[in-house]
Amino acid sequence: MAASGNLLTFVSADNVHIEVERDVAERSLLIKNMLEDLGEATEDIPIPNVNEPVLRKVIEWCRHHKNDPPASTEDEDSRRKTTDIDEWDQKFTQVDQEMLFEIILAANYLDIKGLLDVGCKTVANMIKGKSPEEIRKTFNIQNDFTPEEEDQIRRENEWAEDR
Amino acid sequence: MGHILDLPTELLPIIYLHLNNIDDALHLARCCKRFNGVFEYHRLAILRNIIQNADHHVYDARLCEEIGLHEHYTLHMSQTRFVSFDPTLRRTVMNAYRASLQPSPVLPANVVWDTLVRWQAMRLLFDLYCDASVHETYSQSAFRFDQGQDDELVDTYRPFPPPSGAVCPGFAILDHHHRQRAYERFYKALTAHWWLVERRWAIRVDVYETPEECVEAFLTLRPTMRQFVNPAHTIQEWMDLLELDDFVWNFLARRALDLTDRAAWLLATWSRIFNPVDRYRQDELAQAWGRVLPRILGYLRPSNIIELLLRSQWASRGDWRLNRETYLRHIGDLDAPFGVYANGDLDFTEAMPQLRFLEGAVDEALVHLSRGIGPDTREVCTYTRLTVVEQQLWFLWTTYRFDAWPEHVRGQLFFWDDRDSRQMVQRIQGAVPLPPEA
Repeated sequence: MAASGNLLTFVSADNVHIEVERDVAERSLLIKNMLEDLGEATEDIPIPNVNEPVLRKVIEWCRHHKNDPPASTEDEDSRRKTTDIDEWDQKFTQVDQEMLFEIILAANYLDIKGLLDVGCKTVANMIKGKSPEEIRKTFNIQNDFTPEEEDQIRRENEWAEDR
Repeated sequence: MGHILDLPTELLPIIYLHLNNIDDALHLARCCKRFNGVFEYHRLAILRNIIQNADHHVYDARLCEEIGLHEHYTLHMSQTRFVSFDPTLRRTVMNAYRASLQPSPVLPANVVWDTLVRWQAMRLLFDLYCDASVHETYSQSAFRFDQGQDDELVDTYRPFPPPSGAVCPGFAILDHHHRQRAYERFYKALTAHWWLVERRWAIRVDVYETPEECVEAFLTLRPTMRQFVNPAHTIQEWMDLLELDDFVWNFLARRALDLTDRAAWLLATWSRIFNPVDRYRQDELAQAWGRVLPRILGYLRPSNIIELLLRSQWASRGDWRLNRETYLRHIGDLDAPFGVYANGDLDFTEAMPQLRFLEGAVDEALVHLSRGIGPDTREVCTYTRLTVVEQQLWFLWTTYRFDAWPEHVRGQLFFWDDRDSRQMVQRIQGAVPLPPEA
């Protein structure tokens, strides 16, 4: 299935063809730059790192945000002034952790700054107010410090420990 | 795939950059070696980002500047062999410091490290606020408006047991997230207040052509603070400032100063130069105390209060070994002994306006809320021009602050969940009987 007119065809890592409007696809800077280089896309576009369910989620996000102003690359800090996430994005990121990290990886690969931020903000909000042990539990992280190393870090931070 | 540690290393700093609390970053760094490595490598950028963006750090950069000014001034003056009778020299010294500050688009590293230390150190005062034993003493202490001479004296001799190490019930029921939020609010109010202390010191040692010019300088404080109030929590933030002022400056600082010997304090202040204390009649002594005590309190930084608490209360109760005059010189009380006027007129007023404007700010925020106008408005409310409904609001707030506050708010405000202004009004209305029909 080749692309026609305003429609492009993505091919996911698991070889599923998904049609997507060009203005939606161009939320991805990777795709946008590629299309600018190619002029007209006449062939399917392989997205080798992203499987179908994740790609569909990414397209859903791009479709909802297709009229957002383009992401500014100059003012890196302004996007990080808040950990507030708008209501639609909050619902969008109510997925299991595996999907959340897959979305972050896909957003990074496809260069979709807004989605990458939403994903990382969601992770940051899951960290907020938690102790190191609670963070480990939340993300199933193995404590790989030796008892001596942990003791040293604790001693370094002892004066700075909160309740 | 699908695990946080499967993310490529270049994405991990982005997660750190979306945190807005220093503790969260430190906790994440203690999870595992990989997150620790990322933190170690990007430490300055991560902390700078948090301090630059988090609302509760809005005063830190300004505070660092003001603290730097005081240090610069003290250093300069300590190197001067003779105290100059020319007050304009003080302005010259201060202007030289301000001119040396380089404008920078990002927070300088020294501001970041100072803020990190302050954030951790000031937790000690918050821990006192949360401590069961301190909480009990605070709740039973004389309320600032009851602090007539007798109440204050009763308080002075009342025992002040050291912290028990157990937390008070209001704090105990909070989860981690709300405990963190409580400290963020406490810290913002504390740094706002500390900034006020530094600014008021700077205004007092500056030099003016006329008394009006001096008053004008003090009047700039409130509008400056207003621009840092979060519009989503206007009333709560002004109330946070009041509670912080009550707890740190009107409770802890009074206890820390060991006020049992008033005459010794009066003798130590520079007012003795012009009004020797032995010439005071008893009523004049009380009057002088009413002026001198707020001034001394107004110079105390939180670090002074911690130091004094340890020395005068819990380490060696009643054993005041500090030389009061030296200490007052240390905190800046003697920095402008020859007046604040360029023409050399001496200033006997010892002007150090109290922070009554905080109460006015809550009142004004209530009126603005009822008028549906934002907190950034420049509209000034005067009582005579208020509508009947607005006068009732004023009555409501005044009654709440003077009568209901000690029981309903004191020692608890920072544990309340974030409330928007309308919820705060409902809380006030619930605690105060309806005002009489106008």
